[in-house]
Amino acid sequence: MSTAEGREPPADRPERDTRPPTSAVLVSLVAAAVATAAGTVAAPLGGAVVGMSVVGVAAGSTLGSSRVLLWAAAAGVVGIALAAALGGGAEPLLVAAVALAVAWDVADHGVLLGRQVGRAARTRRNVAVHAATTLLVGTLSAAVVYGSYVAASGGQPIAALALLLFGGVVLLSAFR
Amino acid sequence: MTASGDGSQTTGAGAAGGDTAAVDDGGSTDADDPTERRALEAFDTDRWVGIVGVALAFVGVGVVLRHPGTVLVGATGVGFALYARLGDAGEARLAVTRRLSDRTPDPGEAVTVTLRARNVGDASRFDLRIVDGVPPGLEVVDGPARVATALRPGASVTVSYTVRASRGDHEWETIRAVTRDPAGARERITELETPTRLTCTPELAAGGDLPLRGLTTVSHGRVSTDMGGSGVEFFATREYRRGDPLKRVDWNRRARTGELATLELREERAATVVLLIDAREAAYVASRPDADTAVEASVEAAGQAFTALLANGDRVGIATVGPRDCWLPPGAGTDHAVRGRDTLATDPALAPTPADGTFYGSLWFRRFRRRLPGDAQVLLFSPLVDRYPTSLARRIDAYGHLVTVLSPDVTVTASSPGAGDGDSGGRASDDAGATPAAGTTSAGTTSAGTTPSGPRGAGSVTQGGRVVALERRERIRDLRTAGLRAIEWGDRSFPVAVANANGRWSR
Amino acid sequence: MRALVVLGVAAVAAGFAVLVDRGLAGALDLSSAIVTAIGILGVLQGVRYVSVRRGRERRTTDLGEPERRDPATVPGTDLDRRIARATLPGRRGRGAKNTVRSRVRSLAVRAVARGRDLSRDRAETLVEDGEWTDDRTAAAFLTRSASYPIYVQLRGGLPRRSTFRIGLTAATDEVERLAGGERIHPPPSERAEDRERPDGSSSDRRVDP
Repeated sequence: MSTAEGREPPADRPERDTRPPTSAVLVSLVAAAVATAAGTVAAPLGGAVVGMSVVGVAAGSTLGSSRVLLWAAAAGVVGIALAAALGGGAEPLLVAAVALAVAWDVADHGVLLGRQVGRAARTRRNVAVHAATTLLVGTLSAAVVYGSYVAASGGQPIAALALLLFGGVVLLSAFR
Repeated sequence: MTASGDGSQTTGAGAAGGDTAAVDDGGSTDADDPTERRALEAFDTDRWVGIVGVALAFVGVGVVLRHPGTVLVGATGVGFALYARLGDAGEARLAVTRRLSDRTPDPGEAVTVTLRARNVGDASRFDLRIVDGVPPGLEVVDGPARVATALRPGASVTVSYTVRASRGDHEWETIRAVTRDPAGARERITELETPTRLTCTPELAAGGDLPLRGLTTVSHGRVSTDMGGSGVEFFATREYRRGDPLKRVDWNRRARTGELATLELREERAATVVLLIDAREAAYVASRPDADTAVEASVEAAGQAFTALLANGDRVGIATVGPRDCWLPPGAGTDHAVRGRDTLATDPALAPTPADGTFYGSLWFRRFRRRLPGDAQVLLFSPLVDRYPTSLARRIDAYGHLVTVLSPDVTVTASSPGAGDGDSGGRASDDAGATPAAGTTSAGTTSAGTTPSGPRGAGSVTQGGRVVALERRERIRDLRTAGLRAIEWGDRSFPVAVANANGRWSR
Repeated sequence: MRALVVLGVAAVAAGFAVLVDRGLAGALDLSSAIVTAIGILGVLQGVRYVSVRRGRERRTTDLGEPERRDPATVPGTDLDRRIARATLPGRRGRGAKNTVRSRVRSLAVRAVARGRDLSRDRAETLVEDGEWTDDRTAAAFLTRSASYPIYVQLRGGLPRRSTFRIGLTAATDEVERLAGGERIHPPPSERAEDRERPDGSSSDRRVDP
């Protein structure tokens, strides 16, 4: 069982290339860029903070560090929260959130893939399937959420939301 | 290391419902039966831990600020949290076949290995990583022996890679397949067994070019050779008797004195020699982690000695010091040569990596003593990096056998090895062309078992390495002081070291 | 526990009911303060769940490197480990120090005995008294009766240095010099002619005719 950051190359022997597969790095960078663009549309300042996650994803993939990637994701989350607080529209926020999730997910997948299988091995199909499922899940849940928002708008959904949130919090603490 | 903090294992073959565990014995199966496998329990990767928290926090902030966009982002996060919770990593039900381009290659030859895995389960595997169990004694020279893919039921994936063949009987180990659920939140290892074997038997050197005569029969054996007779070496002259062959008449003397005299040549007897190879774990040492071990060097040298001695008419046997038993009784003839070659190449006791098991010195010695013919001489091959071989040599000597210690030098020294008496320690280039057997260390492994020639920077030698090298040198001195013969060879090929030593001993 | 579940389910059900039928919203009439409080509760719980992640190690399988040949042991690796342990402070280092020192000492004794043609006992005394070499650092490494030169002590006090290591290097250098003097040996090309010089007598009794 290896933990995230423990790598120790054996002395003077050529190493297997344990960097993440190029395809994973590319996909995650594109996704992070999309998140940044959407964040900028919502609120320029928030978008700028989300933009830091692009740098983070690039750095994490280069270093092969899931911890750096986590920080990148955290920067993205803060950026989206900031954009929301500045009154960004729901649509660009949703796009930014899904894109950020895909960016982190694929980059992190790539790092572990690099460690277990390596850049030189065949991984493209694996990365494509993984990125596609995550994108699909994100799009679906965003669609459902947005759909119910549109359907419910006009009334007074905040009370319903508060109840749902309260129920969710209570249930979560009950099941932990 | 497997992912079993929880440690429990389930045998997968039974779960599949009555499928006999298909053992692929030569890449001939049609690959519909799942390969025999053992699935470890799936475990959480903790990859998505915290996503629920992020979702809650967003919804909370949205509620507090009465801002719908934030709530929607949080609600989307709930979707990911569910995604991470719902899946599980199923076991890899695969039918695996492995094909080799050559099952009995020559040393150094590149062998292409093709591994084909078919998903014979009824579920798709969205994330499947396979790592082949390449034998520990083989090096992959092209392409990693692994792949990551996704397989629908019935779909298959193929991996090809190349190994460089090296001496020994190599068996493929467990294939490890890692499956994950689509979200990557659960992970499971499945171990698959598809036995494949690669046997690589080096040709032994053509006999006779190794000057081992001085090592065995001539002058100092307890194999008594101090008898006049029909050998090749001058021993004495005596009066001519009728029937003596004319070519042995001392014509010089006849010319000088007019007397007829016959040359007596030294009688030579076939010696019985046992090649004893140190194969204890301590002997699996090399000057670099990726270099050939001292056992490899010993086996190669023993192979040269074996053919040379046989060609000389001696009876030769092979034994090893180590946890596994290996004994080829002394013998002669063509069949014996083949047996010797096979023993050196593929005997498990001389495997390219240390054998498992504990070595019981006294037990081993008793058995060795019982087997060793009374008049046998022993050539002990050992890197001498610990105390045991020295005392072993002296013990065998004490029982009245002529012992010669032949030691490949794998210690890393700043200066050249050799105990200063000039019989070894030159830094000649690799054994290119010295013997045909040297061809076994072909292209890629030329500097095998040796340090690079030329002055090594002292910086690359560790303190521990220097001390061990000095200790080894003392051991060789000890042996010589005790009257045992010791030859060592470093970069210089074994035959040269033997020839040099011979020059000293036979005069 | 069960009460929590019931409460949660009730809250969620009520929430959906309100979503479906707007009229109920007025009936429930959550005050703005309560809504905000619920929101803050959500944020706090959320932050708590996220913080679980901190310090949590990710788990995954290490698949190793079967492509590589099993690495061979390099002679001296064991001893190097012991030397590293010897430079640790305190009792743990002491045992390792003694082992390393005694191995080098026996090498030194033998080298001195042979080099100066002395008995083993005499050589041992020389080493014990620190008189076997002019190198004070090497001498001090093997005996208590000599001390390291000041500059060595200073250097050993620097971070990542140790007098033990400096002493060990000096002593090994000295033993190497005494034991062989290989470095002043002729290069291999000249050695071929060299090999028949009559030096075998001391090393091989049986050679004698």
